[in-house]
Amino acid sequence: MLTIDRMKQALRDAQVGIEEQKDTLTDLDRAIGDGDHGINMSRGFDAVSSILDDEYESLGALSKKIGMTLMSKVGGAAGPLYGSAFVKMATKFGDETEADFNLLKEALQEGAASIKARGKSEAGQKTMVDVWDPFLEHVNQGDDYKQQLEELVQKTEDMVATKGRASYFGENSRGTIDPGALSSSILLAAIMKEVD
Amino acid sequence: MKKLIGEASELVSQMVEGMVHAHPELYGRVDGVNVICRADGAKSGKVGLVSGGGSGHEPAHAGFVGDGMLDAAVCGEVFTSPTPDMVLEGIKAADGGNGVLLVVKNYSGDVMNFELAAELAEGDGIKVDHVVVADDVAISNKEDRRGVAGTVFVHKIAGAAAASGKSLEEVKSIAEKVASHVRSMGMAVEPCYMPVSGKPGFDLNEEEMEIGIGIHGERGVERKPTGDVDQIVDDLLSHLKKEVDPGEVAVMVNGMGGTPLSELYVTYHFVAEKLEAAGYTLKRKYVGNYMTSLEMHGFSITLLPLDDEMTTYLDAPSAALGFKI
Repeated sequence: MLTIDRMKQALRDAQVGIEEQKDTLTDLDRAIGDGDHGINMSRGFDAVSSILDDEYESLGALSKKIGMTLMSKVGGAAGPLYGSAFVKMATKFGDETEADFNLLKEALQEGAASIKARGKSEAGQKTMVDVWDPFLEHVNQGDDYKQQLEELVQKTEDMVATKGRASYFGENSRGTIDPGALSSSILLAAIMKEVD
Repeated sequence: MKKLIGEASELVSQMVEGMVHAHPELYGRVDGVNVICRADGAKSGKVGLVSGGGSGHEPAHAGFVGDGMLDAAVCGEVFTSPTPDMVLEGIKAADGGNGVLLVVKNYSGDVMNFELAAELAEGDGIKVDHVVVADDVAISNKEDRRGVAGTVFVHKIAGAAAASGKSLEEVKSIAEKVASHVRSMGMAVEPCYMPVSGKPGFDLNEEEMEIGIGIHGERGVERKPTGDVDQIVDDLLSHLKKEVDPGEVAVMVNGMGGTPLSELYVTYHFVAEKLEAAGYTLKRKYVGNYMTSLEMHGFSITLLPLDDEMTTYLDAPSAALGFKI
């Protein structure tokens, strides 16, 4: 069961994971973007960790606060994408104080839909959607979530970007992992770890 | 890379602080936010004009705040789109009761954050519309084109239209006219260095240059051996001429931040010679740093086909430091 405390733990773990991969995220973004993804995500998740000590009445309230914090602290494209994903997840969680695997999965699917709508993107364009969409389509309770996520991140390496700043490089975007896919896998792995 | 900065994380707020302190007659700052507005506040009854984006493009965008151009500029982190709550503060600071037009450069982050801010502002009862500038011909797919130096012409012309008392719909329509006709393309011989990471936007050998760069230190669409500026100008103009027919144009040779003025004028010399030979009349000319990319060494060329309406607004008075007329 994902409780409010375990959701908080997931975000703390995500912050540590982002911090560990900060330079990698920035280097990947330097190769096929503008080189600030690690810096922006680190600033955003630092801000999130500072709101986790507050009390929340429901998973919905916590998710909404996380979403608004990411939206106002990350900037760039990642801010509104991650931010709106959590705000949308909050509407699915509503007043619940805990979520089982199925409710979490449904909430994450809402989040993925919000990312696609806000970013006007689909799977196959070498973006974070290439982690969110296939992961949520195939995942079952008890799977090796981390392994699945890592495989999806790897798959973006051979894709050609048609959305976001990487799309300016066309064919040259092939051969580099998408930084948004990597940060998404860190976040999703941290959340999924807390539901079993 | 050596930088003349304090704490990198404080760069933008210290820059904003410095600008407001140096030009108190021109600038105000929204409390606690990196938003520069007019010193005398929103002008009642006038359509407000707001732009912004990542910092690192100075004088864009705060340098275009002033009578006759922008009412507020939202200054994000370096090369990072500002967040919706910041843009909302810019909208509020520019709202004179007759609506606000946002001038947005075509980057997924900027478009998303400004659209979210527009939704928030409409919730607060402010009429907001926006125009997206996508003038970079280096990207072949028109939908994906970046907004670069041509955005400055949108600021100037829409700003003059707003100052003359036009309605939000009218200001938007002229802004869209400029946005749909203006074309730009840029190049660099040296990259810029990110203040936080200290890393260059791209790694370039001594003998190489990037053609078709954006303004965020991202690589160009093509890497070539360095050539004479004469040949480089030919290369960029060959792309621009495909989309702008001969006739009366405004031309801008824009420095990327680390280009000596001498080189910009040499560049302009070739641009003018070649365009005139190809049948273009250079009705208005602008040479200087308008939309930079930190200390990048390079330039962009912008062409705007002119009609009487656009020319009049281009020539209208402007108090903005970055485009004073």
